Amino acid sequence: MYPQNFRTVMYYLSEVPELQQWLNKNLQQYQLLVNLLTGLLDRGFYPVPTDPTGHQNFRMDHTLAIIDTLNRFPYREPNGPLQVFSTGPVYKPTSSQWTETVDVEVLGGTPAESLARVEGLLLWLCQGATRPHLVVGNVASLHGTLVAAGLADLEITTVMNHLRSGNRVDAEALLADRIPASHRIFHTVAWSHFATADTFGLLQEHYNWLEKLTHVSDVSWDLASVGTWPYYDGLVFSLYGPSIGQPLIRGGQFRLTLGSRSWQGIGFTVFVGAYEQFFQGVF
Amino acid sequence: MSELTVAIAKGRILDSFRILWEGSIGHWPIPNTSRQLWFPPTEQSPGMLIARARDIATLVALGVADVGVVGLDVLREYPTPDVLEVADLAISQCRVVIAGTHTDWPQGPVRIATKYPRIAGSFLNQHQIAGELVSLSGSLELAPVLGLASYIIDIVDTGRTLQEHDLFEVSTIMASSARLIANPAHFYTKPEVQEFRDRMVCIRKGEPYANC
Repeated sequence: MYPQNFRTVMYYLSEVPELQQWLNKNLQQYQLLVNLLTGLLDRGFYPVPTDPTGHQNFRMDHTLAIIDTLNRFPYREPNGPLQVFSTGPVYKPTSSQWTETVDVEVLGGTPAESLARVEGLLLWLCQGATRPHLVVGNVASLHGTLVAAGLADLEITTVMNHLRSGNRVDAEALLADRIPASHRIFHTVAWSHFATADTFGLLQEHYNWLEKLTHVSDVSWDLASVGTWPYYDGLVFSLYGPSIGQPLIRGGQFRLTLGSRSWQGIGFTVFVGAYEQFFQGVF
Repeated sequence: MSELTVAIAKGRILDSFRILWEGSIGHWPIPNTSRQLWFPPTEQSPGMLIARARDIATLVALGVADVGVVGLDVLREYPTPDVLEVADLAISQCRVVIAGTHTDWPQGPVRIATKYPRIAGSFLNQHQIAGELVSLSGSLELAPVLGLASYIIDIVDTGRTLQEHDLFEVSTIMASSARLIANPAHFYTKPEVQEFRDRMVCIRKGEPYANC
């Protein structure tokens, strides 16, 4: 029976090229996912299973889900950064869509240690069919600029909220009365304009980190890039591929408190569908 | 610029946007009598996609169009975090208002007809008004006339339609105008997108692009 059915299936597939094409596409995406996960395991990352429907809500962010899980264990100061990842779709309530993702977190350790781990990962992940574009912002630098401009805490929160939701217009309008040439604050600056770390008040360790990434990607600085989540407190980055209308990777340095415990680290999300488009032709 | 595709909301915004386009880009690709909705990019002009207002942000977020032109009222009613609002074009200016058969502020439980349930809900919460929303997709002015609702929350340009139905503005909820939105990935990877934004901002200020 089985061989007969098997032959029938194979015959059917050869007669329906659309189905074969669809299966091949799924296979390619699955292979890419397996390669991503194998690469993370090879680099010493531990998988953390998270619930896509935890706390009676759909999972919109792995970071909170991972930390919520880790928080249930007794705390002990880790000897170096803890490297973990979680896989599975995240939910976008505005479009009611699920997007397949892999989320990577480097928790604890010194900022230099965790930056170095993520740098290694980004150098690996940027090896696509074309040169990607890395856009970097810094929440701490922006906060410093807004404080220096004399904005009150509530105004700073409003600017940050506008930028998180992609609204540059109202964020710029709030600054217009306080900062001369405020529109220039949110202009994208190519890495070629960075003569030294002092050019835009970057920390030397951030400057060195970005300079290494220029070997595999184009880099731009954009202070309006503050990420989607309110817990980012340092560097924030997004990776884009030419002609791919979605981000490949989004992440940043964060500090967040859940329960009585505070977590700091750096993490990012790989959007598998967009990343697969970027990777096409490499395998 | 020929690598660029612009999605524009049909109706009032499309008509007013033509002035900005002709002042900054030049050639307007839509023939006067055309009902065509898609104009591919050419040597003279970026591509143009004409769609319903509430679909513009989706088309831009998915990368089908690089930039879009849509009213702020629509962006607030159907928020799409995957687009960047990059310029206020200051065209098609209007207001979202609450209006009724008199100018009194709503008291007690009231029924309000609207095509903006999100904006209306947030307004009711903010002012702690016990309102029941009736969701309609158009001809809202009829609701008080027919006794369906005592108030409406709708968009107003000159206020003439309200007047013609014996309705009065109670309060302005938000001012709206056309905004230029961009796909974040294309905003950073296609130099034409930021150039298009800069051209639109310059023409809006009445300054030539070279000196802006």
